[in-house]
Order: sequence, then structure tokens, then C-alpha cells
Amino acid sequence: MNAVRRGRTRLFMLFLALWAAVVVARLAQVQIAQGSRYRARAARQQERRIEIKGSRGSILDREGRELAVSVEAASVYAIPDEIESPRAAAQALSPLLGMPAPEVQEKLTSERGFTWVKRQIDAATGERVRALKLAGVHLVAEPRRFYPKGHLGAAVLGFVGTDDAGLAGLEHLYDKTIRGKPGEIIALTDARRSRYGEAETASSRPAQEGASLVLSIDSGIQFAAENELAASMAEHRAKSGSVVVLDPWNGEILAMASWPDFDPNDFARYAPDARRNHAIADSYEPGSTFKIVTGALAVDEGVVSLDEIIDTGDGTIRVANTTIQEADRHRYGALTLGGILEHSSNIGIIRVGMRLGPRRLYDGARSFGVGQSTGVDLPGENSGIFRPLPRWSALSNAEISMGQEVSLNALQLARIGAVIANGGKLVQPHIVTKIVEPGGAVRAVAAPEPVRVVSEATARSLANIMIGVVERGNSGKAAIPGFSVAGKTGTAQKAGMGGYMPGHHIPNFVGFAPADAPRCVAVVVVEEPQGKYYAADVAAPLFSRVMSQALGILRVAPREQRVPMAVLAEAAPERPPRYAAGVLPASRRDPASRSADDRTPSAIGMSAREALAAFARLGVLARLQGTGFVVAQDPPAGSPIRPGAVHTLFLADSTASPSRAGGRRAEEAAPAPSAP
Amino acid sequence: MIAGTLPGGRRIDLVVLGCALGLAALGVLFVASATTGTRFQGLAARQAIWIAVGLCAMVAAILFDYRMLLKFSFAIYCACLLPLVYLLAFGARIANVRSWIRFGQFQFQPAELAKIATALLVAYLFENEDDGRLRTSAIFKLGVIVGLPVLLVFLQPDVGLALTFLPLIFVGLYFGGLPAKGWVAIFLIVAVVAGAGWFLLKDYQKARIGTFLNPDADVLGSGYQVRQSKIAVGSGGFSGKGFRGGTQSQLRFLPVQHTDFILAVIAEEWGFLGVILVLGLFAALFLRALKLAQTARDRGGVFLVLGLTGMMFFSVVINASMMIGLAPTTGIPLPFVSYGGSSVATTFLAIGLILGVQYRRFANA
Repeated sequence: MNAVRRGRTRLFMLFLALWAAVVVARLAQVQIAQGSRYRARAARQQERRIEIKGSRGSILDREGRELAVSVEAASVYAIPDEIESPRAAAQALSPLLGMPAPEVQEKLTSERGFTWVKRQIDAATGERVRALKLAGVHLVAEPRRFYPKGHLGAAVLGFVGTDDAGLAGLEHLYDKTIRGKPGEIIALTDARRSRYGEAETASSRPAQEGASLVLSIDSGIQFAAENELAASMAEHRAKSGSVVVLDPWNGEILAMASWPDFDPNDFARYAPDARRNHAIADSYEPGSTFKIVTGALAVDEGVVSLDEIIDTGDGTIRVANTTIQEADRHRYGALTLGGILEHSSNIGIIRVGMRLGPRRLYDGARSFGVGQSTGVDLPGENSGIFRPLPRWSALSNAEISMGQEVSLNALQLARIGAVIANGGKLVQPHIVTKIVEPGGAVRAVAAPEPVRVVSEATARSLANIMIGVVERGNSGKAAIPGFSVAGKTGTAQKAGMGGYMPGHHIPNFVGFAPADAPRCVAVVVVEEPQGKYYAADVAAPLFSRVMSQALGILRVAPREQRVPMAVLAEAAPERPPRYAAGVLPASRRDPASRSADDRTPSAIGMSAREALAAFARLGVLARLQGTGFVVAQDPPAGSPIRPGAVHTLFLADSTASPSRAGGRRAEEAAPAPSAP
Repeated sequence: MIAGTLPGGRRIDLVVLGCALGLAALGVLFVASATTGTRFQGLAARQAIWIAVGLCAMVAAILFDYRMLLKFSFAIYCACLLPLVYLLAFGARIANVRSWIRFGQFQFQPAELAKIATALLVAYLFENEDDGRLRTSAIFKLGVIVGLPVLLVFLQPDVGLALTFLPLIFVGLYFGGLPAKGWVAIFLIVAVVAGAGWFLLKDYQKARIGTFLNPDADVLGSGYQVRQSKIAVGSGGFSGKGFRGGTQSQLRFLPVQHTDFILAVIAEEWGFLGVILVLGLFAALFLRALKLAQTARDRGGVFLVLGLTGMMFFSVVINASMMIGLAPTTGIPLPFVSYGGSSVATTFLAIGLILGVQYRRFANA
């Protein structure tokens, strides 16, 4: 052993010690100083956060019937590492999933640690897949949107894309509200994720369901509107059409139908036009229906009185070097304002409109919401065209008076109808009335207070004129037996490039019923019918069919059954009762579910209105006989309610039984004494 | 020749033997920990069998006079290089390299045995060199002796294993007495060769070096191993997560956890203390071996011990540095501990040779 080697050995040992010191220092740094940081990193990558979609809230109609719901669907995924025989597994799965076996096998042999085999299969198929108990094949629940009523209300509801995003309609506008909050399962997992979904830990956060929407839509009326619209479309071979039914008092949309329609369960199959909500997305020149605006403004401003005779002359009028004629060259001679609307005289309404002048016509029409979006809570509203005053031509005053040079969507027209129906106030149409949080908390969506547009007297006058239009004028086909109906037709020509396009008509109708105590305003619009095109022939009958069904669904009694106005006024000055919040009326309940304890209530001593309301709440049909207060009833109070039975209430004049006590006395004399 | 009797335990160095057995035991323990429940289950038992094989080789090496081995070292060297040539020509690729020869259930890496043979030949070379200064012809011979197997292994291609031969050159030059200006010349040559070599490296090898320089650049690619190793080591903390409690290794985040990254498993499950234990055993073994080298009776014995120890030391340095991100990922196993039959068996053979030199340190033995 020489000295050099000995020295070098020492040097080498020194190097060894140095290196050891570096490694130990580094270890101390990584393991001790930064240990907690690395522990957190390890934890993070070992916890696989599996996001679970929160299901979307339901969309319900005004009586709680489901229009859109989230259903549990199952998605099948595979952990290829865990699969023993991909071939056998693929052969077992193939028939259940409806996929060719080679395709399944390809997925099962994927290089990736995790692979979806098929997403969103129905729950029953999911159960059968689970029953196969294939190693490495797993299921996870994923909610899927389902529209149980198919086409019903599709244009309003919209649809949801594959990534859970609302793409149209309410699903789009209220997406943030109804979309669920995703939760997560924190699973302990290895690098190949093979413990996926097994080891849930306490820190898992459940997915939260989104809030539900309660709509003002009544499925029954909606169904009637869609049904009748489709039938009318077929009859007239029209291009498109829409029906809007509005509550004139608060602007709640009871029905909004659009044709052509689509099935939101399978929305991708339909053309964009079918998915369009024609009731708000299309605006058109209303034509004669607009005359009620001109008329109402003229009456309200006092430029014309109701009995004033206006000469329509020879059926022509010259405005700014242009001659305007009556439709079909009619000559109506001298007409009152009522007559002008009954005959839909262009000349007459132009004279009235000219008296108003551009400024008052413009401001007045704006106050009716013309040229402005209704503010309805639906996406894609076309607010129409209403040129500002400075851009009016010399003809504009005359043209606009009869509903040209202005365009409206169906909802805007319905809103105008509501002004006349409710005594002169402009309502804000809206469709979502309540938002129900997942916890059950109900948030009412407040619509702005209606704004007075014209006086109550003006509105009543116009309503009477519109009753006349239906009873005596050209809109006889809008009448509904047993009800007074107010309405107005309009047959616009469709404007195209450089003027009106011959043969392209848009018959439309706005009306309300019962005219003396309106429950519904309805607008129907038919675009480009073939053959007959006058609104009186195309739109009026459709209005009548929709409105009569709406009144029936709302249980508005026909005229002969209705209580005289005097009694109504005495009993309850406000409009007819509504159902309590969120309560499903008994009338809509399945009769089988009605409890056996439900017995006929005693209506003795009640006013006709109170009695009808009490019976309606139980879903019992009641027929009135006589006027005044209930003195007897058949079947008697306390007897079990039989589904479908019609109860008869006998009323006696209020003078005969002026007090409740009197009513009770009458009860003793009733033919069928009630049980206690 | 073969010693007639084993003359009592006191002549066998118990520190070296104890450290080697301790490390091997830890190896079996943590190979078991890292592989239980994986498709590698059962490798710990295999490792134990290989240790037994290695112990037999060790005993044989102690009993057999190393001077005889040195005398025949050229023949042994040639015999051990033949399988490497065979592998290159006819070997089947396993894990994309031609490193293994199969014997039924077992497979063996002849390169591991070639390491021992090369160390023997290097020792024989210096046995016959003058003590004073290193001749140029010796440097040249040293280069050829080591360079040949390095080239053969490099072509397999198993760069990590090829690198483990290089300490022999260092040991030869360093302890052979290369003067300072010689080191400068070597440094320059290495710099030039490394510059040129960069163009010869495979893309994945370049990526590994890039990864070493910036481990977070490619987290899911080649940076993955280093990153996962560091997470495993770091999360182990001072005292570890407990045996079989290492979530990183048990959940298979840690790659090749039972072979090249076994130390990370120990670091995770036994923490800082566990690593200190392992490195302490190695340090004791190396220091003891260096001391033994000084007591050897002849130059051949000295260089045999230094060469074998140097190779082991190099492997430990690279493997441990790699685990904590101080060296690029090279695929060099941790002697005794990492799973690998050939590695464990030949490491014990090396220990046997070292102990043999010590056993025969007296001229009359």
C-alpha cells in the first residue's frame, strides 16, 4: 500500500462523506422541510374527484304537472385493466347496449385507464348491465333531461344539450337557476384509477339539484292550443302559426303554442324553424287588429265620441297624393267607431287616426307596448318594428292607423288585447311564476304592476265595440256558444322586398272572453294559409276553438249558469278565485287517490261564488238553480263524493233570505237534510 | 487453492457481511411491500431465492483463492463477454432490450456477471503494473478492457448498466496514480466526447436529461417518474407512513417501484429514518471495504476490492440521487435492495470476492 493510494483513499472517503452529506441534506429538505407539501400533493393525486352532475330542476305547469324533468340514467364505463376477458365481456354487453360486439371490445381493450362504454342508457338497462357483474365494467348515475309530455310546450321549454346546457327557451334563459350544482365523489384511487367509485370518503360533496320552475302555463290550455293550431295548420296548409293565451289581469301566459313544433326529447332531429318560438320570434304587420289601438287612443283622447258618425265616403281616401281604398272596394258610408271596427273600415279608422295626429298616435301606441319588447321571460323575442316619429313619412299616420308600417309579435298583440280586457292597464307578460328551491323554499317571481294606458271607461267602450265585432261584424266565427266574446280580426299582407307580396297573407285574431269578466285573452296568428286567407275564415274559428276549451278548463261557467253580476259584485269584487300556491286542485287529482273521507261539504248559506269555489276545490261539478244564496243542495252535504257526479245547488233570492241565518232556516226546509 | 477449512468467524469481516445481509433483507421486505396486490406479486420470494444463490456464490468466492481467479481473469473475462455478443446477435428482446438470457422460469443478465469479470481483469492489470506511476499503455489497456463490455451493453441498449462499468476506469486511474495533468486531459476528452455524444443519444435519453434539468416541464411524460418519486419521498416525512402504508407506491403512482425506485418506497414508508438506515448501511459497507483494501496483501487484491466497491458505490450514488431528483433517471438498480436476480446474486458474488481478499490478507493464509 503506497502513500499515494493511501492519500487518495482518504480523499475518496472525503468525497463519499461529502456526497452523503448532500444526499442527507436534500432528503431533509424534501422529507422534513417540505414533507407536508409533498404529502398534500400525494393526497391530491390519490384522491380522484369524480364530478357528478346535479340534476336539473323540473319545469312544472301552473298546477304542478311536470313538463320537463330529470330522470336518472346510467352510464357504463370500463376500467380495461380490471377486465378479465374483454371478448366475453363485449359479447355479454353488446346486446344490452345495442352496440356491435367488436366496438364494445375495442373500448374494453382501450389503452386508457378509464373509458366510457355508453352514456345515458335507461335505468332498466343499467340494472341488467349491473346484474352481469362483469369485472371492470361499472355504472355511474347521470341525470338525463326528459320531457314527459313530448311536444307539449316545446317552443317555450326549449331543450338541453348533451353537456347539460340549456340551449333554447326557458331551459336556456333560466339555465343558471335550474342547472344543478355538480357534486363530487372523492375516491381513493391509484394511478390506473382502478378504485374509481369505490372508496367514497367523508369529504364527498353530493350533487345539488337545481331549482324548479313553476310556470303560468296550464297544460290543458296549452294542449288545446297546440292541438287546434296543428289542426288549423293542416286545414289551411299554412307555413307557420302561433297561439297565445294570456291572463289579462296579470299577464300570466296560460298557453303559448308555436307551429311547426318539435319534440325536445329528440331536438336534434328537427329543423331550426321547427324549434323556433313563432309566438315571440316572428313579428308581422298586424293589419286590422291594430285598429283597436287607434280606436282606443282616439276615444281616450276624446277626438271621437262613440256615437259620432264618421263618413267613409266612397271607400277611398287621398293621403299625401296616394289613394287608399277599403279592402275589396267596399263602401260603408257613414259609420260610428263601433261600425268602423265591425266592418274593419280602413277609411274610417284612417280618419280617426288622422284626428289623433302622429304625435298622439305614436306616443299612444308606444304606451300599448308597440315597438318594445314585452319583457317576457323567454329568450329570442322579436320586438317588432315601430319607426320613431322623425322617420315617419307623410303616409305613416294613415298607414299605422290601420296597422301597417308597424310590426308586432303575437305576444305583443295579446298584451294589447289585455289592455282592453282588464280595464285599460298594460301588463307585463310572464311565464315563470315561482321558483322552487331544492330545499322547498318557494320564491315568487313578481311581475311589475300593470300600468294604466287608457281609462277604464275607454277600455270598456272598446270592449263593447269588440263584442259587437264578434256579434254583428265580420268575426262571427269567433263566437262561443254560451259566452260573450270580444275580438278583432286582422288580415295582413306579408311584406317582402319592395312591397307586399301578393298571396302571402297573415290572418290573425285577438279577442277575450267572457267579455264582461274576461278570464283569457287569446291571439292566433296563421302565416301564409293556402286557399282562404281572411282572418274571419281562418283565424276567428281557431280562436273560438282554443278559447272555448280554455274557458272550460278554467271552469268558467257559461252565461246561463253564471251568477248575475249583482251577486258577484256583492260577494267578491275581485276576479274569480285561483288555486292556492303550489296546490294541485282536486279536480286534477286522480279520482282514485281521493280519500274516502272526502264528503260533500255544506254550501248552505254561501253565495253562489263561494259555493262554486268550495266545490271546485274538491273537483266537484256544481250546477246552480236560481239566484241568491244556497238554500239546499243535492246530493246532501255529508254524503260521499262520487267521481263525476253533478251536484245541484238551489239558490233563493237574497231578499228572501237576507242573512246567513235565513239561509240556515231554509236548510231545514231543504228536500235533502244534510248530515251533521 | 481451496482452503481446507474455514478458520473461524473472526477472519471474515462481519461488518461487510452484516451490512450486505441487512440491505438484502430490507430489499426483500420492501419488494414484498411494493408488489403485494400487484401483478408483480411473488417477486419477493424470487428475490429471496436469488439472495440464496448469491450467498452460495459468495461462500464459493471466499473459499476460492482470488489469486487463482486473477490468474485466469482474462479467460473469465472472455467467457463472460461471449454471452453479451450472443445476446446482440440472437437475443430476444425483453422490455425492448437484449439484456436477458432465459433459463426456464428464471432469466439472467450476463452483463452483471461481466461486471465482476471486468473488475477481475482490471485488478489483474494493476497487479502487474508498477506501483509508482501509471504508464500510458496501462491506461490504454484499461480503456479497452472496460470499453469492450460497455460498448456491448450500450448496444443492447441498456445505458444504465453500461454506465455502471465506468467506475472501474475511474478506480484504475485514480488509485493507479494518474497525475493531475492526466485528469485535465481526461476532463477535456470527456467534454468533447459528451458534446459529440449528445448527437448519438436517443430521443428518450435526451428527454431524460432534459427532465433532470427541469422535472416539471413534462409532467406526464418522462418527468412523471422523477415527480412521482419526489412526491413519494417527500410525503414520507421524517418517520414515514409505516410499512405497507405508502400510498404512492401501494397505489402504483410510483413507477418501477420494486426495482429502480425501491428506495423511494422505503423513503415513503419508513421516512427519513428509513433512508438514513439504508444509506448508513451502505456507508458502513463502503468505508469498511476501503479499509479492507488497504490491508490486502497484494495490488491485485487492492484493485479488486476498490473496483468492486467503486461500482457498487457508483450505483448507490446514482440511484439515490435519482430518487430525490439530483441525477437523471438512468435505470440503475440499488445494489442488494432493488428487485433483480442477476444484480443481487452478482452483488453477493462481489461481496464474496471482497471478503476473500480480506480473508487472505496474510501472506501465509
